[in-house]
Amino acid sequence: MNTIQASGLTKRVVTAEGELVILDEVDIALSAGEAVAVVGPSGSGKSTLLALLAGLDSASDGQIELLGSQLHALDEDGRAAVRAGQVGFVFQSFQLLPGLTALENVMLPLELAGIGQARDRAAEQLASVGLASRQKHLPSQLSGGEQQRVAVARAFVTNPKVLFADEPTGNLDQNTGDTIVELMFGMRASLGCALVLVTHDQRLAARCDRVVTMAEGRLL
Amino acid sequence: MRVSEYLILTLALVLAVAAVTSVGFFANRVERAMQAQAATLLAADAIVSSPQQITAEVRDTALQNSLSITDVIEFPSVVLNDDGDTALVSVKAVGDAYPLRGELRLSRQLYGVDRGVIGGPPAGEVWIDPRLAGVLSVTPGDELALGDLQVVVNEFIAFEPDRGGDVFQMAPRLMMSASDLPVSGLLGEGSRARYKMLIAGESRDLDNFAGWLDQLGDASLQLQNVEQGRPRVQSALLNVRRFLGLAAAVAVLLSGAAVALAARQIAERDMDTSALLRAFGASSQSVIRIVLIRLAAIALVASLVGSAVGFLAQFGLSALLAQWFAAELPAPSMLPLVGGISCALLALGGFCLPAIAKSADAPVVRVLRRDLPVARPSTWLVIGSALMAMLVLLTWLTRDIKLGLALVAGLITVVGVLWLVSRALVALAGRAQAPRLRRALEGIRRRPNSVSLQISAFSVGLLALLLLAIVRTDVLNTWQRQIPDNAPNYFLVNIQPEEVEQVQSLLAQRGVEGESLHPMVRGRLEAINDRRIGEGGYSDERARRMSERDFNLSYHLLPRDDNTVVDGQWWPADTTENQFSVEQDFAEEVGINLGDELHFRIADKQVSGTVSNLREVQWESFAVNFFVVGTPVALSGHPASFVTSVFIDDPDGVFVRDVVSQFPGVTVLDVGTMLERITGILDRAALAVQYVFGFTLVAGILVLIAAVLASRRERFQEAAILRTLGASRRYLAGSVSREFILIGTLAGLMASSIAAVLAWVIVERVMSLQYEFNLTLWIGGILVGIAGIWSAGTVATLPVLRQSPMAVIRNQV
Ligand SMILES: Nc1ncnc2c1ncn2[C@@H]1O[C@H](COP(=O)(O)OP(=O)(O)O)[C@@H](O)[C@H]1O
Ligand SMILES: [Mg+2]
Repeated sequence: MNTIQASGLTKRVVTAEGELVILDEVDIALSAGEAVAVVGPSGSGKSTLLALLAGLDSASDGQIELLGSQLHALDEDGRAAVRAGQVGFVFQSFQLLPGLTALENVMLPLELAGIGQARDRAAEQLASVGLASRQKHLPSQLSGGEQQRVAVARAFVTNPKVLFADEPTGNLDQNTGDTIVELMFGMRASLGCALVLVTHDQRLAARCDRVVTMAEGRLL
Repeated sequence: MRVSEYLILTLALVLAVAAVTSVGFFANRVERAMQAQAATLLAADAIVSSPQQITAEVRDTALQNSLSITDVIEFPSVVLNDDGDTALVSVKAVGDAYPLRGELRLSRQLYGVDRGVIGGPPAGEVWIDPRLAGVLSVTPGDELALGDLQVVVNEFIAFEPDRGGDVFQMAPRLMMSASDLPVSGLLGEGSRARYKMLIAGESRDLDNFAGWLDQLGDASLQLQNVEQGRPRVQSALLNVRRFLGLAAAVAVLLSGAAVALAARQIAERDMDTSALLRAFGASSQSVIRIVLIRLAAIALVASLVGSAVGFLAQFGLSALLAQWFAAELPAPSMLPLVGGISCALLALGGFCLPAIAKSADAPVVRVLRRDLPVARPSTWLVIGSALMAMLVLLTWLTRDIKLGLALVAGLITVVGVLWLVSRALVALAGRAQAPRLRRALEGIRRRPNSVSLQISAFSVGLLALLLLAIVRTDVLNTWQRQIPDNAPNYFLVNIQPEEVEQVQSLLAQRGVEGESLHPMVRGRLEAINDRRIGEGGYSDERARRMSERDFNLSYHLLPRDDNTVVDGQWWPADTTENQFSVEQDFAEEVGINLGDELHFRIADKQVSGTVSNLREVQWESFAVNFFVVGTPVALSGHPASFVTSVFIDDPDGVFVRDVVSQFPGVTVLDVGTMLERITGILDRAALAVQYVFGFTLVAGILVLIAAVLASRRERFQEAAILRTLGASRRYLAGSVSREFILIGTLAGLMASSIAAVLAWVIVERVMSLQYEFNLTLWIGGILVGIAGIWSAGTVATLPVLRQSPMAVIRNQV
């Protein structure tokens, strides 16, 4: 069974100038543990595709199967339930909860998925990204690179079957970005989880099993 | 998005204006009613009174000022009927134009249908109180001997406008024509007549005349106007108005807080636009101008809508207090509208301008660096301008700058205390370890100031409502409960000396034995030692009035069990001296000390004596008591009536009927009815104040919503992240609910508990009654806190629940 199986994915949005097709009949499949890089110019629809595959948004047309669930047949809550505990995310702008400490941020997916011993697991995960001493710090007390490391820890803490990353190094300088990439690929390798990585960075894309390119809402 | 901030801003202003104008419109109606009513209570717009005949000079000046005048001369006298029976009467000789304001109502038959008339009796005719008809058994057409005159009784007086509310009025009224006076021989040398000249006219003319009278400097001439003639219910109403004003002011304060919160949000968003406009070369003035025009439009809309709401709301207030007024209240004038509009401008200016003004000079570099901290006006500037606005408002509402200052200080204290308590509660809750409540606690921990503001804003209104509810139910009940069961329930007054024995035997028939009938002599305190009353030196208006009016004296030889001498000695049983015993609080208020020489005028005689002791009186026992008691030697030789209070179980009113039929001159006062009326009035007053505090509660909810809106950006982001990580909508709704239920519990707990403590202070400390903790109300308060904050919080965060996780990708919160 493929981790992701999508066909005819289409996303249309209504704007002031009329209907706009931002994703046009996209077919894509990921086998278990496979890493796919999505590249393409800005505005080509990469993030839109990632969002649809992860069930963050609903498609206008087409079918998506994620981890055996037919996402197109589910509502927002149903899709959230599929994500809980099985899907990890890393975003360009980190997206940590500002009110929670680093440790609590990492605990969050465990709690939402109802997985026990959240605190211990989270502490362990945080240690594995080198932030054992920063457990009690709030995001605002951490640098960008450190925040992204917390995000990586959060993404992997539930041992997800698939990880979605949308330009994870986009907001970081070269060195810091490299560290994050190393962490991410290292953890993915040991877990064997699938990866959908949206990036501008050709070097980064090259580390994936497969690279697909988008332009104007289509897969080339 | 921004619409909701402007909506809150507008709603808050509407609320402030509505609170102020509802009280304003109501007060305006009451004032107009008072003006009209008070004038009829004097039967004139003003009265000049004197112990001597009013001089031609005074009359002429009044006429020259285009005022209408008429005479009233009052004095006690005795009349005889054909059978030779006599009766003491209180004569009132009136001029043709009497009454100048209001109307006299007469009836041909005893207690028959009455009709209004203007003008006094013609010469040779008298109109009498029905009580006198009973005493002398006269019917219309009968003649009475009055001094050297034979007069014919033609009418019974059903209602006399300027009679006043004196239930202890001793003698029944006999009204005659002033033109009969010279030939009646009634007003000899040294007679105890009170000469009055009634005046009516335009207030400008009245002022001119009053000014002239003041210049004249004749101490024997007293000018009494409508203001001074205000009866006590109306001065109580004035106090209620103060409380209403205060309640409205608290609503304005909270609305102001909501305005300030919304304004800050608007300003922070405007800051970007403003920076951009200025980057393109717009001056900060032109940016400010745009903002000001927008705010002015909001102020205008809010004033109009708010005034309309206030106008509607005042009907509720008038309905609640309707029983205070004899007649329908007149329609209000449109004057309170000015107040409403000023209030909107004031609230807007005081609570919102500092923030808005700051946004106009946003640093232009924000165009490049949006993460620059937003410039906020200094907290002191915001607080200072808000306080100034409150001071202006409160001074205007109470018409008294000192009171305004005191109230602002009081408000700061109350709000400060509430804030500190909420902050402490929040800190305490933040430490709590409850896994299920973790996210709720986290919300509180993260925004301690905002949450404290929500708690204190909501609990101000709730606290006031609860406290008033406690006062209305518990305090009044406690007070009534603690009146002993066998406390007297009837007062019998105006018992004539010759009726004393018969009344006593009637009472004995009803099982009341040994109840003493207290003699009552009416007198006026003329001087204490060498200081004449009315010569000034009274700091307190009440003390001056108390000492100036006639009051009731009694006499007895032996000390009473239920009075305690606290200073000096009760007189010996064989005393032959003129001595007085004075109630201690009265003594203190009027300035009477042990050993002082008191000079009274009783009828046409002067009675002087020394104060030999001060007494403590248990007023709440409902026994008959007197401020001043004298030795029998001093007082027993003067015309007296008798009074007593008894407890009689008389559900069918048989006793009252017996008394009335056997003793037509005796008045029976039902204490139960009086108490009911008093507590009813207090209850209504509290209810009316509660009604206005309703605005405060709504304002508290607006503050809460504004504060929640201020955290909305954060909440949207959180919701998006949680959704991404797999949280269901129910999970989000649950954690939001728990957060607001927690905040509501804290607010309710605080309001309920503080209200209970204050109630305890009022009952135990101020009223010296036994306080009983009201658990139902305490729990009720907490539940109202939870329900109010939960529903307001849920409404304010509903859009957050609909947040799509897409926001984490688009970064668009
Ligand atoms: N809700 C929307 N309404 C209108 N246009 C949208 C919406 N969402 C995305 N777009 C447009 O769709 C295109 C693809 O966006 P996106 O998937 O973010 O591209 P990428 O991630 O490749 O930069 C862009 O031109 C974007 O402006
Ligand atoms: Mg993108």
